Amino acid sequence: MSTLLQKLTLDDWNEQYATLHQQGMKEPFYGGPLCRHVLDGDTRLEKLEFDPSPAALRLWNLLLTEEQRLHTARRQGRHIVGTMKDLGTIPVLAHAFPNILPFYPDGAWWTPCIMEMNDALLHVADRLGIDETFCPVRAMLAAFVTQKHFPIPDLLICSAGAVCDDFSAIVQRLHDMGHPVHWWDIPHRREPAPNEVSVQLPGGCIAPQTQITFVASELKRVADALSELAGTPLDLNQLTATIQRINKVRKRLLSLREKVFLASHSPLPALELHIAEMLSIHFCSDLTETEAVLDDLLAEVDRRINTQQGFTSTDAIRVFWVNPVADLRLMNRLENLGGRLCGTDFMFTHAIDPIPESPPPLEALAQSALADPMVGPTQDRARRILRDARTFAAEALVICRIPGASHCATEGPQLADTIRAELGIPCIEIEVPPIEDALDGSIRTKLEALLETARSNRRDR
Amino acid sequence: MAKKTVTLPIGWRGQPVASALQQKEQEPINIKGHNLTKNVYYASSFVPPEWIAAHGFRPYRILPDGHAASTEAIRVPEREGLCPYAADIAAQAGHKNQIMVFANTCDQMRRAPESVIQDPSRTFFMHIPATWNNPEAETYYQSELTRLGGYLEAMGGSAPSKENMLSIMQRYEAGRQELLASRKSCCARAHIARTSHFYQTGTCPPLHNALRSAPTSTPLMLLGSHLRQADLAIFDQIENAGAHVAIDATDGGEREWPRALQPQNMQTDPLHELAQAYFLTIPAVFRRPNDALYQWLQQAVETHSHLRGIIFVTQPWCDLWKAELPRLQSAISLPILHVPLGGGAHESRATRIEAFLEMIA
Ligand code: SF4
Ligand code: SF4
Repeated sequence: MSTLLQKLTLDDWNEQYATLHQQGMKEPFYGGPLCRHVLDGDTRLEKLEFDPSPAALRLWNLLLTEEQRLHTARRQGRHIVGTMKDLGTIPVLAHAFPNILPFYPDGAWWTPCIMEMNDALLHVADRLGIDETFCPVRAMLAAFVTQKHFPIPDLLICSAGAVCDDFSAIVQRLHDMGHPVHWWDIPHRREPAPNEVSVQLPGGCIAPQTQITFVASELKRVADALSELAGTPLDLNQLTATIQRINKVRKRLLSLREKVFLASHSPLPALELHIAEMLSIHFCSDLTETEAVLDDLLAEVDRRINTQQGFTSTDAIRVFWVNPVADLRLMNRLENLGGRLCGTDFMFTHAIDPIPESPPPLEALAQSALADPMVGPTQDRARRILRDARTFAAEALVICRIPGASHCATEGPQLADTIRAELGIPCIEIEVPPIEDALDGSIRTKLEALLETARSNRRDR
Repeated sequence: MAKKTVTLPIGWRGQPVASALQQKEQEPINIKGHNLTKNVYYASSFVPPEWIAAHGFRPYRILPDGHAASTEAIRVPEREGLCPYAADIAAQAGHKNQIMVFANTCDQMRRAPESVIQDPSRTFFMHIPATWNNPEAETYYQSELTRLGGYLEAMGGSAPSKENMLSIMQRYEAGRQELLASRKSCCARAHIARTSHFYQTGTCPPLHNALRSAPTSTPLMLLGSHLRQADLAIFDQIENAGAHVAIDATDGGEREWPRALQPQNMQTDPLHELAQAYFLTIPAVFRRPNDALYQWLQQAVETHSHLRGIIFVTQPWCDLWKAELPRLQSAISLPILHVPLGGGAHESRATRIEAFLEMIA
């Protein structure tokens, strides 16, 4: 018989924490009760519902202690590198230098949500002329100004070219405000011409070799900048070893996703799955701990599958989710309304697909970078979503529209039309602000309508 | 009494530029005895018309609406977040049987055409690297020109001979020089119309007497996003308020012209010279970093010491320009008025321009 697991509120977690401790729970160096993060200002946690396992506790603690880790690394003399926009490629390169620690300042995207605007980052961005017509990543610009979050990196590396206008414009401002940026160009991935030498990229798209060669040359420039900072040349053997190690992390994540999406009851809540996926981008500045966290989560998920435990009932509607949610609470809400995650494209599928291991390492990284769903045509992205939605038997699709984002002006209808035409499942687009409380009713109504339509489709079949 | 028909000169105040130009769309360009009759449409300053013409096509730079909007082209559905300029340009790809070259110089331009393309084989996407202070990006731009050339040949064009290429480059260079030389002798509206005419027909129209008088009102710079046909009314509004646009530094304006082509370099390697003149010198806002834009602005302000202010225009949702406003305000010594384009705020815009002029008087 199956067991429906209950999620915990933050208060519940305090009791759970005490119980687990009495039972001898061992925690890593960044461990501790979740409620302490509220004292640091992460007040949104009080509105969330959590997985009750020690594995999930470790995941949250890894995520929410990243800034402390970065400050510690700086004190220990490591070089802090802010990698920006590419979501997944440059950190691989940076991890090949032992004295460099990369992180994504882009993560400030979620700060207005996690801190419920308490730190006024969006107001600071407003004052800098970056208002709500830009996506929530404008919080990053403000975080550089207030300097109350991550340490200011020793070097910023940002991709340009086939990227969103929001990010490109904001980072140009950063550059002008005295934070020099090393830019590298990623071209819009195009279809190869007939007879043009081309390569299949991770994830299945095809790109012309000329584009891969160009991106590899851009990555070489990045490697040179990192070498200069590190004081050592790039060791290609070390980079190869790093790629192999990171591929093991990516394979863990792929396995986790597959298990969660295919299980009859969701063995990991949508919220924790979303957070776990984010680890693949830069490992929350701790590759070793990311490996351990994913191992714990996989073990917990295996245990739950074997004992038929899960957070959703067997009749929950299987939802494919496109784009990250500015307000993480929506992940809880999906499940509370009778849905569950069965497929995701949080804009960084290329950071989950393993990097090819046979080409020379910079070329392999170039292939991985070009596989980014956001640098190619929307139809390529739609094809990947379609393939995954079929694999995971999705019954509905949610496209999360990001306020102000340049890509959201056109991508939503294209993705929805393709999926609707091919799979015949209901699709909606919802705009989610960093704090969705004010729109609570309308978002809820849209989600309810989507789930109801999917349910009635299910009855008709 | 029969009504007398009056033909206004191109660029006459209030006359829609595109309607004045539309009839030219079908006229062949004659280069060295070759009639170029088949249009290749483009919109970006980084697509050299010389290169299109050298392949036997008639380069036609789009000044959107009044043109694309009046046809049965498929349009990108209007949605919050969509740049209207990008949507108008994309509509061109919604025409059947037209060859269109897009350059993805911003995310909106990269994505807007996706949903309307009728025939992908007739649409060419050119990647313009945003980085530019390295040889890899230069080489990539030139390789994109070569790829464009191959595409045009596959679409029925001819491979350019060096002689043909030189003559076309000289012709466009001479046209640009002529436009620059006559710049001060005509009103801004006429200048933009003559420039559009040049980029659509390959020839400079004669400077009509009616447009010759040199403006004596307050000189301003117009800076910012791409302009649509409908936006050109701002030139009239500025003139009605007692000023004139002495420098059109909007995207597509004279700021985005290539540097003068060098005869010696043209002789040695015309394609390389074309690539260098366009890629290395246009101080575009999307460049990363875009310091060259500010160098150009500083220089323009110094060279044109009579300038009294800047009207800064942004299309709705144009992040690249909007984000620059605070930086412009601190980097440029002239007063700046931000005028958002689009919407129906025609009258309030005129009032704001008048107030700005009073302030800087
Ligand atoms: S959410 Fe979209 S617009 Fe915002 S930074 Fe990410 S890719 Fe750019
Ligand atoms: S006006 Fe701005 S957003 Fe629109 S196409 Fe031009 S640069 Fe892009």
